[in-house]
Amino acid sequence: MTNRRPAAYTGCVSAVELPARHPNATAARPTFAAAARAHLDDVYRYLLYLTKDGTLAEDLTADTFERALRAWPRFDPRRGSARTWLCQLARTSALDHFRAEQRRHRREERYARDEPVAAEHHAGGLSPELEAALARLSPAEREVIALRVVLDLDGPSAARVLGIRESACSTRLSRALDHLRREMGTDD
Amino acid sequence: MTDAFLAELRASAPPAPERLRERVEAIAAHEPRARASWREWLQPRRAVLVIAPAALAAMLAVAVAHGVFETPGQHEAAPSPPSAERAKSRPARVPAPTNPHRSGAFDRAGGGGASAQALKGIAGTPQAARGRKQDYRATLTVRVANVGRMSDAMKAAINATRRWGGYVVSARYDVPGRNGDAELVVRIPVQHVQAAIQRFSNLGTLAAQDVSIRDVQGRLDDYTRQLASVAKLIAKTRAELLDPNLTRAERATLEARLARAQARGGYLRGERAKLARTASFATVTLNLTTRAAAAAAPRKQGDVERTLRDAASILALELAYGLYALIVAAPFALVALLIWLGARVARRRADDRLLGST
Repeated sequence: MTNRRPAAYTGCVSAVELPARHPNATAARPTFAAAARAHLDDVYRYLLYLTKDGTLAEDLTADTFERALRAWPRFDPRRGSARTWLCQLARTSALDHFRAEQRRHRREERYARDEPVAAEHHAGGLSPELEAALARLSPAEREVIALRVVLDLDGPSAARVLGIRESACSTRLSRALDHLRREMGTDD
Repeated sequence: MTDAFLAELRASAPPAPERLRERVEAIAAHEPRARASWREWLQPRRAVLVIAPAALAAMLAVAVAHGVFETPGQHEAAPSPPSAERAKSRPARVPAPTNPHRSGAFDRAGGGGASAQALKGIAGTPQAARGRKQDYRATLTVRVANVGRMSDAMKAAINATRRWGGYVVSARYDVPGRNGDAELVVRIPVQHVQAAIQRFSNLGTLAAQDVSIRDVQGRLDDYTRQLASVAKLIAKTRAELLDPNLTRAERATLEARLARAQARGGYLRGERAKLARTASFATVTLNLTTRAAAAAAPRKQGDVERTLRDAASILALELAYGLYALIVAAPFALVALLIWLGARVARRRADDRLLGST
């Protein structure tokens, strides 16, 4: 296996959302209920890919929307779409959970990453091979795949959610997909 | 490359379970208020955009207010020697010499140049207040035509001083060549100080005058009160000493107290007399010169120009204080910024480790 740096991902990701601060971006502010209805699935999918645990993803999704309800007056549609903003909140919820788990596992001298992969079929109709391969990815790899492939976020929005530069986001996605291909055994 | 699993990932994205949908709908049923509070509105960028212009406007407002409202007051307190026109047209603006109830503070006047005509009235010269003791000092700079006239002026000033009952404190006469300077310091009874200033000013061309008045009535009254108190103490002590039943120790204590009180009384009487003497004579310093530069009267400033100058000086003062505060606060702000950035980087790295993305 060569240790070359993977090229940035240039695959097919349709630009459903205009990038943040795009001059044509609409600054219309939806109601919170409308935003919640429209993006609940996306938030749940993102958290499901990140945590590999359906029950946990549900709890974190609910937690995310509770945070969002409190922070909704601060939401500025000119700075990004509601979906991006909700995904950022979801990531914060997940990281808070992971930190709490890490502290708990430290007390038990174990790490969350070392836990055996949950056997739960978390992603609906995925094939067992793909699901197993996904489970072997790191949470960071799964989350970038969730954002860019499953949720179809564009590069700037995904980078905004992850808190990194767009180029770093592309690189991370490329690495994640390479890893997934290797795990699937389809590496050319 | 079109990965089949990418299509599979997209196609099989799981929807949120119905029970989660119900939970979220219950949460979303409480639509948050649309209007943000001022804390939410006041984001750092907005705060800078609002506070910076507001601070600038406040600085300008203070400077302009100072220039507009303070300058006339200062002008009245410190008038330059008025021109003849001004003396005629605004005699009522001649300032009172000082606040009669403020002791120890000098009121100053003068400093500017004046034409010879201006000396006719010396209408702008502060006068000593009647009925109050004041320390009055005046400095006049007078240009004379030549060294001969300077000598005559010196003699005339000395003669006039003696005529008014004053005396010469010091005299200096310096004529190294064609040009020369002389300085005469005289003490003149305060009732003649206005006449003296007028007389001295008429010795040549008045180039500058500076008048300082310090009210000492408060100090004199204070000495008087203390003296009365000491006198009472002396009388009381003397009365007590007449008691034949006093023990030797009590008598010694009372005698010591009497001696202290008498010494204190003597000191207070001396200080009061010295102060009264000081206040009964004005100190007038007459500088005579033959140099033309000394006679060049400074250009008079209009009210608008003076207002602008005062406003600019206050603005400069504000900027200096601001710069000082910035210099003092900058290291702390830098340290705080570095700590914040470091904490942010550390947190991000911890998050990356947590997600296994490093």
